[in-house]
Amino acid sequence: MNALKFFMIIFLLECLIYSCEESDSSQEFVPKPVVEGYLYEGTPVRNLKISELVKFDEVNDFGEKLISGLDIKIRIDHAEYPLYENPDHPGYYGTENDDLILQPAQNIEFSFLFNSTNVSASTRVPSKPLNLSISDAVKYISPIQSYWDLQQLAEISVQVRWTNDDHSYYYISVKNIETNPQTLDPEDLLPDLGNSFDIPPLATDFSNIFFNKIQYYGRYMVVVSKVNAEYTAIYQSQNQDSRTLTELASNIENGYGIFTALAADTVYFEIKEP
Amino acid sequence: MPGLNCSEEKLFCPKPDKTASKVTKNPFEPKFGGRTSSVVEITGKTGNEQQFNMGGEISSISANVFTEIPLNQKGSILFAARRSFTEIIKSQLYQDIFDMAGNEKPAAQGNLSGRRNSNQNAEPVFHFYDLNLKGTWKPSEKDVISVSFYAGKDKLDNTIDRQSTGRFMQGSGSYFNVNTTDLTQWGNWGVSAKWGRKLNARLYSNSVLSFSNFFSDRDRATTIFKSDSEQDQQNFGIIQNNNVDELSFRNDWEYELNTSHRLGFGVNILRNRISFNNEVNDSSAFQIDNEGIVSTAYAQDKWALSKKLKLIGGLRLTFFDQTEQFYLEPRIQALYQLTASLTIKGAWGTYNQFINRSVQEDIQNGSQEIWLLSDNKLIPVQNATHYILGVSYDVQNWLFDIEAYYKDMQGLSELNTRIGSRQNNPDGQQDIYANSFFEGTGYSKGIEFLIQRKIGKYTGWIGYTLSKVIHSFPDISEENFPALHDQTHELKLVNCYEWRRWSFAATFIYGAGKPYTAPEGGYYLNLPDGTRKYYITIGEKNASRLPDYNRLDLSATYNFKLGKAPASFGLSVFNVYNRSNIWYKDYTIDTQNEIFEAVDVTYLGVTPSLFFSVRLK
Repeated sequence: MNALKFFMIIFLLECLIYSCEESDSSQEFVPKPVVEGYLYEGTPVRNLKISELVKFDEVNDFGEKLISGLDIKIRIDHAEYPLYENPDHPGYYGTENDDLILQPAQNIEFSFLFNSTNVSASTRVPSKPLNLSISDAVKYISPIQSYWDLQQLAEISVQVRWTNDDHSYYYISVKNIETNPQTLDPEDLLPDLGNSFDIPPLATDFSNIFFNKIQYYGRYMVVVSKVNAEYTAIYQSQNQDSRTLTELASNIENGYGIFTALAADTVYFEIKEP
Repeated sequence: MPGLNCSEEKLFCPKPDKTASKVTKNPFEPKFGGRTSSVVEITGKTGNEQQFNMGGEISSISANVFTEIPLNQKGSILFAARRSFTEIIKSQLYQDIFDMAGNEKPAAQGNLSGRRNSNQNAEPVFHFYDLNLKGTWKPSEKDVISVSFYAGKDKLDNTIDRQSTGRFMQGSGSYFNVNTTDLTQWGNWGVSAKWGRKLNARLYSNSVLSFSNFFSDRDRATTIFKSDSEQDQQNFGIIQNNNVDELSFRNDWEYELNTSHRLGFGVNILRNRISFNNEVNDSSAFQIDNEGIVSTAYAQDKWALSKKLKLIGGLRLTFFDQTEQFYLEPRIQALYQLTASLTIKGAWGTYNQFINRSVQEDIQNGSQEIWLLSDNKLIPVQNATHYILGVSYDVQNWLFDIEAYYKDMQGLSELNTRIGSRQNNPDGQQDIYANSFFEGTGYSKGIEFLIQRKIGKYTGWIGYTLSKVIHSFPDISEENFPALHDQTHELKLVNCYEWRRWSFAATFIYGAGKPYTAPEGGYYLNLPDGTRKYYITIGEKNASRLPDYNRLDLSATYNFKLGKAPASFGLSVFNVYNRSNIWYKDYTIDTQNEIFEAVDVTYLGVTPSLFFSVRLK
């Protein structure tokens, strides 16, 4: 009977101890900074945005936790400069001197301390696309009256070319630059395509801009940007869905986000009515 | 047998009087192989050869029947079947009863407001059945022939439907509906023919020809309907099938050389055919279908060196055609009886496993284990070396047992598309999978304590295990991490008490929380093309832990006779204090990264059940 009592006492004690509900022992959340830094050849360092990772359980609103008061240093080749926070936009940092223009082949590195951890990243300023040209400065297109016209439109294109001996990646952005552009779709057969679109980074020396994405007459600006590997990586990893939950690529040491440099050149074409 | 599973543990575990199943942990003798941790030997009870018998039990959540038919005193037929109907727990009638008793409505359906990231509970609905049929015939005094058939299937419905109102990135005053249909079924069936022959007083043989199949199918589809400035519907899902066929012939011999030596030897040839199909978003993403032959010979000796010292040792030699290699597995166990009550035991051995139990990481839908045939390319052969030392003290009605173990593991496998998709710039999903199989190593160590009272009105036992299972996959994580099944503490208290015609039972189970990989945080990022999206980051591999598991089950049984037939009725309550034990975490993330749904998928809550059973004999 003593044994029975012994077991029952232990049993009841265990029940009392463990019947209480408790939450998961999730890993300790360590706040990390998120860096958004796009540097453009021929311009100074502006708008390096630093925000803070939001804990997953608190991802309930759409606010950003921008980080103010950081002591950020930027190293251009071997010279170091401080970055200053924009007083009108807390969390955005840039060089004080607008004469500090980024040049091709410069190595750029930033670093700062966040919660006693050094956060850093580096990139290299690329050169502008060489020998950039466009096949047609003007294209004549009649207004779209039917679905047959739409099919014809999809086969029209202009080609942008450049020199790419080292198989670098180039990213293309096409935008209508008219203030009040006239539609080439008076019958409203097309969905709303907007006045701009992009072509993902490709390691080619040409790109065909097909007109099935174009909705307006007028002048178009084609910006061809030479991009670095870190930008290509982030572009290719940006889809998170049920297929496989992957993280966005990042080149930030001890943080998230991107720090990269681009160099762009521009060509133009125009679409007119015949 | 891969995937053998007892749904919700104690409630429906096979009863020993219907199916004699024996779980043999390491160290298992050279007679057994093909597994690195434990083997389940299901022999099946032989029916009564003298008298016809039948019986059954019905409760509010399950029913079972059995019959035993003698065959002219030279054999018997036994048939047993069980079926749970726990799906009625989610029926309206049952729910009404629960509501009257003050229980809250299950959280699998509900409304949320003003939240984009929601966290809720969902309790799956499941049911299962199994059938056992065994015919035994003794054509002579020296021969026994038996034919067995087993089939069992579990079905799990983890459908979740939620409607929420909230804000999206661009708008306000919008709502969304997330519907996830998640159906899983798994089970196995097998048929075997066995011929046992006693050639003389010292020599026995058993020959078994068998075929078994294990399957596990999952069909999960999520629809997200969003109504904002415009309406948007997203559909995505997975279909998975894992199928393991095994055709086996084994011939075992046992020879009692003298009182000190009992020799065992035999051969085993088996053919495995294993397929795994993983379709994602209606595209055939990955399919693997492998076949391999494992040929084995073994020899062992149970050797009593003295009255106090016994050794069980031997060798197992296997040829696996997929790797075209021989695998030698030496094993030895020693038992030394210090006193009449006190025994020291130790063991060492190596074990290989050709059907690899790979982990498939799935952060959103819960990681799981899949069975794949080692192929010397994507899937390695698993190998383990065991070291075991223990002591047991057996006195009067009590048994005290302590055992420490260490296991060194190679050839661990994980399918991880999260990491695999970073490995290259794939042109297609097949490439993602080809780069997503990772090989690792690991170890497990622990101490098991057992105190058991074996005889008397009060019987029961306390079992406690302190353990650690660590995996190392350098290509997945720079740091070693706990395995999915790592459970630091595990405690079981089983108490049975007989009082007059009553039997009372109380079981308490506690297990420390198991690890999982969780989303860690989120952030906005703008791309130069103007895209502004919210992105999720993933925490360290298996760095989060589910809450601890614990539950208490109680039952009271009154035994009586209906005429001459023994019968009983009673009440059992599963999970008495309605603990929400979390099985896994389910995360839904829409394709535009605007909706994050987190759901705690839980095990069965409090489940009272009245039961009645009767049998002829």
